[in-house]
Amino acid sequence: MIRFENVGLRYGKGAEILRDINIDLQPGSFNFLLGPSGAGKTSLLKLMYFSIKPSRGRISMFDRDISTLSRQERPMFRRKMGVIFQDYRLLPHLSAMNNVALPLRIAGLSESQIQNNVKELLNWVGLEDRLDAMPATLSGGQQQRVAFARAVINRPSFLLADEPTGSVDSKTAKRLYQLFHDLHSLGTTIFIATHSKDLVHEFGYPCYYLENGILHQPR
Amino acid sequence: MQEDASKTIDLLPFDYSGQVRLLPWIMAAMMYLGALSLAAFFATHSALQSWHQDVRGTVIIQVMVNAENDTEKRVKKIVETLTQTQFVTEFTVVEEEDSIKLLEPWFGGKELVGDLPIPKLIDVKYEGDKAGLQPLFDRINEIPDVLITDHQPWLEDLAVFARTVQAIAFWSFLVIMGVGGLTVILSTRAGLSINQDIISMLYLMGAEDEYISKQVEGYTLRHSLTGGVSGVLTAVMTILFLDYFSPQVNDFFLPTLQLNFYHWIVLAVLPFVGLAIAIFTARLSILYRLISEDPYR
Repeated sequence: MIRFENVGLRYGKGAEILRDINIDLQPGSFNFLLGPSGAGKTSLLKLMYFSIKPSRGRISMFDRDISTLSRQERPMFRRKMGVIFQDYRLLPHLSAMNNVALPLRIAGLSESQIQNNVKELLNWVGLEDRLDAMPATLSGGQQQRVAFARAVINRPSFLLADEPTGSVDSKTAKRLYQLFHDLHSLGTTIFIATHSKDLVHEFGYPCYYLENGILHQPR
Repeated sequence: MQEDASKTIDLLPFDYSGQVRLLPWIMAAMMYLGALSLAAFFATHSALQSWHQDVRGTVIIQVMVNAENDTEKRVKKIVETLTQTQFVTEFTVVEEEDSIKLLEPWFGGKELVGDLPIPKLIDVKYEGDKAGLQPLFDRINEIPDVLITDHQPWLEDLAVFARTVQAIAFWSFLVIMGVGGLTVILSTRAGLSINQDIISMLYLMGAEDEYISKQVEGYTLRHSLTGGVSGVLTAVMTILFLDYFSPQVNDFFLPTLQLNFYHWIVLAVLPFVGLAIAIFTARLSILYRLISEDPYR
């Protein structure tokens, strides 16, 4: 599904922060990416969602070299993936419901379909009573669940998460991981960057380890 | 209720961005100045046409008063000559009362100019080329103390001045429209910079350039139209106000701000032309920005 071949990354003329990265994520797999702060986890994720371009190497997604994708093709590929950020990145001027509805609006679904799907999903993440709440009025855990709902509303084939539990308490973190687990059981490929070894060990899924720009394969 | 509300949401909250909130006001000011420049252009154009119409095919024959020659006899002789000339369509011997009235603005009323030797004036209208009248002018010039005045030469000088004013008015209009377009570009760029994080998120969710562009265009459309219509309406009120007061200060040579039907139509269309320019520049600006920031371009 996702393949990195000898990928390297440097910002500007600086030193390479990612070196010779090789990844081969199989469809339906669940993988963690562990590493200390500053190891380059976020940069690696940015490469996965085409926010930055590698300095060298080849990245393929769904059997296509992404450097060969046209600007018009890229949105369709992005709709096949969901991304969750540590800082949630909710649109502050939109309600929880409208934040979650965004990917569906972009995809051009009808309002009635959007309303049904969004309500169902917010119900699934336990926020059925906060549909119209603005992000600023939600707790950290609630915001993270809204961000989670927004990332999965499109039923993506591939879900990326960057420190999804970094800003929430352990109880909320476990609940979120349970949601990831449920989604994985439905066939979604999941890749989570975290620095929490405890959670990684608890779930027991394969774990890549990134340190000093070098990626170590799961054992 | 929820459905209606969700359809009208602004994904890019330009309205909350202080830097771009001024757009409707700037558009209103630009359209106001643009409409006035255009009105000045039209008014000068109308005045030029009117001047040409008034003096084209017209000469004035002045019969000077002197003690040696009887004025009435010379006038009679000229009238006979004019009557026999083929190209002369109409002529009028101006009454002394009317001649004094013409002089009033410069020399005062009858009591002041009554003693002056006021020449007898004959207003002659002709058709065809002025060169065809040369034999007539030659015969009249044989009569002593007669002067044939043609307005065309000095009118040409005035016309050059008027055309310069007209060109300045049109150039001002183009500059104002250009500045309006530039304002939209700067406003769009400011809006994009402020909303950069949101745009990144929209991209991440699979938004296409067209989708993001439409969000900005929607904002530009609403505010440019509001600003444009307000600006042109204010300009129309200004034109009507100036037109209402212009007869009191007007002179024959000064162009009035009276516009004809087609001029009003052009002014009515102006906000929509401004809107089209605004949408076009906003679209170009956002597409350029989005493409230039694409790491895979």
